[in-house]
Amino acid sequence: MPWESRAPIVRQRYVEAQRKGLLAAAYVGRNAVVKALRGGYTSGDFVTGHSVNAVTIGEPVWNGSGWEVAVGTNLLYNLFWELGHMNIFLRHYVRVEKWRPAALDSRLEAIEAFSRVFARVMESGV
Amino acid sequence: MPTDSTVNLGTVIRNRLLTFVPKAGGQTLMQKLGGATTDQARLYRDAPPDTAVYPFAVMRLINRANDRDYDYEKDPLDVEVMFFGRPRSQAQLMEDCADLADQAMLRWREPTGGLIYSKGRTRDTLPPPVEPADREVVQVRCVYSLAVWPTYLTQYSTP
Repeated sequence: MPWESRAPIVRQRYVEAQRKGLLAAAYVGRNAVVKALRGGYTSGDFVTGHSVNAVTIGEPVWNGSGWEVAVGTNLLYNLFWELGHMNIFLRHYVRVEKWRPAALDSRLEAIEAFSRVFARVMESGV
Repeated sequence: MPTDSTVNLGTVIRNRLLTFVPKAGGQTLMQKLGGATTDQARLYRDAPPDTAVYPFAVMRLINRANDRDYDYEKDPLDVEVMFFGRPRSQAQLMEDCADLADQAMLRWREPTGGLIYSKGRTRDTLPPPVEPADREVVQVRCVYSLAVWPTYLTQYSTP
């Protein structure tokens, strides 16, 4: 039987495994942030669901040295609650972190999700 | 420079930021922000007082994920510094303050009383705020990554 390189197949599957693994990890992070945002940023009495519905996942992209994916929002006021701001209604500095603690607390679960999906894609068809 | 506790470590970092004199001369960060001494300087830890006067800055130690490869004695951390100015005409002053902080932190090598050295920085000028944030406030955020070997951790391997 003539020798045939499987390198192109492995390379293609590796890229696919990276992308799908990253998306799996991103969903873990997204779910953690959504759960954290359910109660809103203050008392929870004025939650509209706007912040929760605006948490989105980008497409995995190659950054020159590896693949990455972003979980974020286009709501500017989420940024200012997260990083701290001078609140015109409360009349003092206020900061309520939701995104960073959720991302940190779910990082091991995200790593596990990536590893599981990566292995499944790489081993598929073998 | 004592690093025998997190509180003292924060004080070392804060003093470095406030008292650094740039090579070209000019004001220190303490002079730009205001305050005659480091105790009075308007670089607050964690949160400003409700009566804070502009301009001021807020400093926090975050992302302290310990590395077990060094027997948990290396303490990588981020120093987040957020500069606040009002009204928006203070934007240049805030950028100048951030430039001073960059100079103080990015080339820092502190070998006494523990070891501290810089590993890099991310910096963002926040867009004009939207409600409920005051839209006349300028915010510049700098996050400095440091490698720290504080004596309260390294004491256990020191003979």
